[in-house]
Amino acid sequence: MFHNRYFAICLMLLGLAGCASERITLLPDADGKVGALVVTRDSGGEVRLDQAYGSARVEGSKVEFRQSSASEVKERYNATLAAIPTGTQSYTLHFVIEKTTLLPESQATLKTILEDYSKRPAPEVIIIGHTDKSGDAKYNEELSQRRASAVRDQLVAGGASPENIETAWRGDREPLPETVGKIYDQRNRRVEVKIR
Amino acid sequence: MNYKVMNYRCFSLSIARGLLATSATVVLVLVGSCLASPAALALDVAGTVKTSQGNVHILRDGKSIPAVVGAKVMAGDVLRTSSESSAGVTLKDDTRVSLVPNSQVVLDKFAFNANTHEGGMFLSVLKGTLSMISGLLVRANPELVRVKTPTATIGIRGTEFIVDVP
Repeated sequence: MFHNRYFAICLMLLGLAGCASERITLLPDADGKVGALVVTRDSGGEVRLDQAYGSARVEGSKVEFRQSSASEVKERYNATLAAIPTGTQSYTLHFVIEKTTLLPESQATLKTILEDYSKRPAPEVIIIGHTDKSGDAKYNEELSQRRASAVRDQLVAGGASPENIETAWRGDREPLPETVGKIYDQRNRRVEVKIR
Repeated sequence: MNYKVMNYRCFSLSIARGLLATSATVVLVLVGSCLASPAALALDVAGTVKTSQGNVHILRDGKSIPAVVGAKVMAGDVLRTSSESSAGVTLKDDTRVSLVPNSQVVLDKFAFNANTHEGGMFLSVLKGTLSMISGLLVRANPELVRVKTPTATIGIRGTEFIVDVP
């Protein structure tokens, strides 16, 4: 019942305050992929969006589909798109078997991580240590923890702030999917580093 | 009740502002009283302010906290930008959101387990414009992530979108 009232008020005040519609617009992501949204009006009606720049307009009495465009979105929403934070970046560092020593190419990756860190506002780092399946599980838990700590120490030595870093470890419990069934595998002697 | 209040937002700009503030309080009270596990969950950090220009505030427990870069955002917080202000927040599941000037958004619920990716999110756009790039929660549990406007609910299957509430 109050929707009728709402609609009446809208009609009455149209031109005074205006009763512009709510707009929900689906964008392609950075890779050009397009997800999907379902916009459901509380008092009935639904629009599914699955095309780039498809837009749902929700007004007092209905919800409608409109096709928007890249140029319209850019013009109308430039400010909001510019304020979106930089996306999370993931890196993988690899280790010498049984050791907390980085492989040479991972030393270079560590430098890249520190550069990335220095460019981000209020950076957060998540470090997760892993091992391969060789050795017993308890030993691997401890080795993965030492690997994670070694990476944390090197990031701190390179200028990262310890309070911005979280460390975790998984032992040999989360091997890469492509290595399942293998015991010795260099790809699993790794530490994953996420920065956001 | 809060949505009923919000449905009268066409009166005039100044009255609408007052009503929106009221409804934000109502949302907060509802969230506060409905969450099953109270303090621990509500106090968990949900995200971090990454970009902040001009006058941006977090309203929490009746207090207004400046949302400077590095400020933590928690479930239950209201984020508010004044004129010529904008803000960007990254949540724990890598969801990214930004607000333009004169926007008001409530992070009604946020829970995320970094190990299992379990959890959910409920976010209300009371006014202004929000852009969102969804994160791990939508990938793991799309049915448990919702964005609410004053008159509609948005179910999200990914990834990037804009919600514009006049």
